[in-house]
Amino acid sequence: MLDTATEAERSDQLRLLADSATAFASGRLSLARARKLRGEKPEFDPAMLAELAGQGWTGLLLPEELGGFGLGFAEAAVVIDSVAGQLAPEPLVPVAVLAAGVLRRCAAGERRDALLGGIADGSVIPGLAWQNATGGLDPADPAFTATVQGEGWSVSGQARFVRPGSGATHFLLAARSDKGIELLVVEAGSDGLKLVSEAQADGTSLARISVEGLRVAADAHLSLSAADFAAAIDEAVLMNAVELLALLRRMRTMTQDYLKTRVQFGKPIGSFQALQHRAVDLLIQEELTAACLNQAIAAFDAGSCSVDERSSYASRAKARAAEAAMWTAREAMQMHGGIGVTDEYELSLYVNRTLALAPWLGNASAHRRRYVRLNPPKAGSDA
Amino acid sequence: MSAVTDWNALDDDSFRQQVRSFFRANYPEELRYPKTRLRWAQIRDWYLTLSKQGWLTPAWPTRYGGMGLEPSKLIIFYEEIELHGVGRAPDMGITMVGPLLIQNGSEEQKDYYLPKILSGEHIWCQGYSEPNSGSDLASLRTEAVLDGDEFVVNGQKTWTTLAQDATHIFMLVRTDKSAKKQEGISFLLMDVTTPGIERRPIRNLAGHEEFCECFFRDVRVPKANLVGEINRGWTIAKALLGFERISIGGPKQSQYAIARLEELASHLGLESDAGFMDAYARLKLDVLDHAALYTRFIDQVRRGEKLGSDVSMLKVIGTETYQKISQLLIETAGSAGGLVDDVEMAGEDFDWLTSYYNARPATIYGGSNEIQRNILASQVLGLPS
Ligand SMILES: Cc1cc2nc3c(=O)[nH]c(=O)nc-3n(C[C@H](O)[C@H](O)[C@H](O)COP(=O)(O)OP(=O)(O)OC[C@H]3O[C@@H](n4cnc5c(N)ncnc54)[C@H](O)[C@@H]3O)c2cc1C
Repeated sequence: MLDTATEAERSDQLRLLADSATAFASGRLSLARARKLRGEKPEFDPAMLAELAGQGWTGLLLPEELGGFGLGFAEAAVVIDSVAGQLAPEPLVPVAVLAAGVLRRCAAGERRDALLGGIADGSVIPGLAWQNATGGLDPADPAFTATVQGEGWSVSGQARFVRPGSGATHFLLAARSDKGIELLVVEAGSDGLKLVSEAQADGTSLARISVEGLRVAADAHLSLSAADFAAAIDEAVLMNAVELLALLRRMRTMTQDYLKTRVQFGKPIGSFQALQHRAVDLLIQEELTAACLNQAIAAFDAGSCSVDERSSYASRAKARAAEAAMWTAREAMQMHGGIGVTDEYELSLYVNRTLALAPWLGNASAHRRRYVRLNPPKAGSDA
Repeated sequence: MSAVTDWNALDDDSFRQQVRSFFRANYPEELRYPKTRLRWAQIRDWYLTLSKQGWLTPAWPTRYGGMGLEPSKLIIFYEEIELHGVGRAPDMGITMVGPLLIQNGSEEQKDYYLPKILSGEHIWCQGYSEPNSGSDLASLRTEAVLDGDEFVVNGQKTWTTLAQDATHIFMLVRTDKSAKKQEGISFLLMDVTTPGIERRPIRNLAGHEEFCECFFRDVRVPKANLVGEINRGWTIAKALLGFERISIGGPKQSQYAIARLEELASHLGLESDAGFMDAYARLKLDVLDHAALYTRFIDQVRRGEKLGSDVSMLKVIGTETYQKISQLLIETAGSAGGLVDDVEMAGEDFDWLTSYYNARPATIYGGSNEIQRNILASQVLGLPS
């Protein structure tokens, strides 16, 4: 589909998709709803996730034969932007990008196809468990270890920072074996699966999952290459950056509006040059982020870059988006004065979501470091 | 209470020792280095312990029940408070109302209010800011109209820290609408249970109720509650600002936060991480140099000199250093950076988001950092406006 559509057709389609995503988000995903779901267990509404699936959004990136739409990252970004902008706690990126991206790369088979079909129709909500307790980010070194045992597998280890945790229907335990990367599919609530929730700034939580010698049947075992696993994670990193851009754009425009309307000393505070320059700096950050993301998304969709180039794009995008969003959050609070640090005012919802999403799958610092690891400075190279 | 001790006659070291051992022996261990503002119910016992000891109001003259400490001793007292991690009690009565009444209050006001601050019977909150008057405080509109022997007060205050725990509020109110902004303001004391006053707690972005908005509808307050002359409230209030700026310009919060960062770094083994070490070193030196600058100002106080507008620097660099440390803490926490409360990291609990949440409003209250920079630009650098 991506190959056949012309540039113009695609941008028309993107506009249509953006319109319907915006309409859905403003109609169905109110900030009041997001506020009310904070701290709940589960912290999102499974019925709403099913509704998002009904819009086709959980299957956007999946091939049509698996119940998806075979669309690209530009389309996914449009939808994710709308959903994130309304602070919906439904785990769209973790499920429809991360878990789906990993599963999609596993060998086809009954179990895999059923899970992907379930993601597309909203009935399956898997959480990928792969990072260790201090937050290791090396896809080649996932949190669990797996060994063949009789007909099936035995898995041990502990993963942290798993999204979704509460509310997940399945967990995909990523494990090292002597053959490569194994993926063990375990239903939530299974015996021997220990889950501890850790609360985040935005009222959602991350799960800590541990198993010790858990037996997993052969038909719940999938496998994929370390490179494919890394590629799926990079896609989630990029779409997570899209979420952060949506948040920072909202915080920045709220601040811009406030600077125009808040009056002190007989004039709008936006007339003070000390604040004007800072507002402009935020705009520049927003534009840098958007430009960087557009480039990365286009490269992902073109599908022509190497694994390392893809990782570089993902890291560049995340480094910029996370840094810019955290910066915008701080400046937005400051330029609002007292009201900017209250729970009641909507800015706090955006700030707290930013605090939760910026570190997920690696914060700005981690991604800057990865970028230069992949692209060490070389004498005589052009930018 | 036993005979009044002349603390100032002691040499600095033995005074410090006495203060230190009293804190060690009496301050509840579980309240050391509290992460958030302590509520009255938590800190009441300690407040009363200090009061019984005669140490609640170290800066007040002895004849009003204070310790009568001269600046150098006072500094030692506060240093020991910080060193031991003694939590902040509701101290508006101690640090603001008391000194203000001692300077500007009538004999009746002093006789009535000061003992009740000492006994913990009266807990004060500060009612200056209004929804439309924050940085531009002098534009405040809460109005007090004289009607016989009473003022009738109407209006709204906001961001009133811990008003829900207070028994009394000291306020700036407008008493002359025709005068120039600063000249129509008076300083008024109120019992918060007076009919017509309503307090509504406001939740902050960390989810805690640490301040309130306060509504005043036809609140009748005895004329005797006016402090100083009518329409002179601005001058009276301004006299307290110097104290506030030095007390919120101290290095304590940054020092505590950087110690947590050091612990986190050592648990994660980051000593060999050049990127982290550079970022850390930069902040460590900011903390040390800020403390050095703070000492310079404190020495000025110790010599009995008045502080100038340049003291605003302390608040700017101190609060911003604190913010940067809290940011580096989150960054160092990596994937765990968005987790709240005590978070286990490499076998030890850390709470980086509380530092972050505490650090944010520090550049807003007590005169925002933008306002401090405006003061420095015009009053210290003499730049044209
Ligand atoms: C945690 C907390 C506790 C507080 N406790 C109390 C209390 O107990 N009692 C009390 O009376 N008040 C209290 N305050 C209120 C505090 O004093 C005000 O928030 C502060 O004065 C700023 O006012 P504002 O919030 O209305 O912001 P605004 O004045 O509206 O400022 C908004 C933004 O504009 C900037 N700005 C304003 N004017 C200028 C200018 N001329 N040039 C450049 N920038 C400018 C500000 O710096 C800020 O960034 C508290 C506030 C907080 C956050």
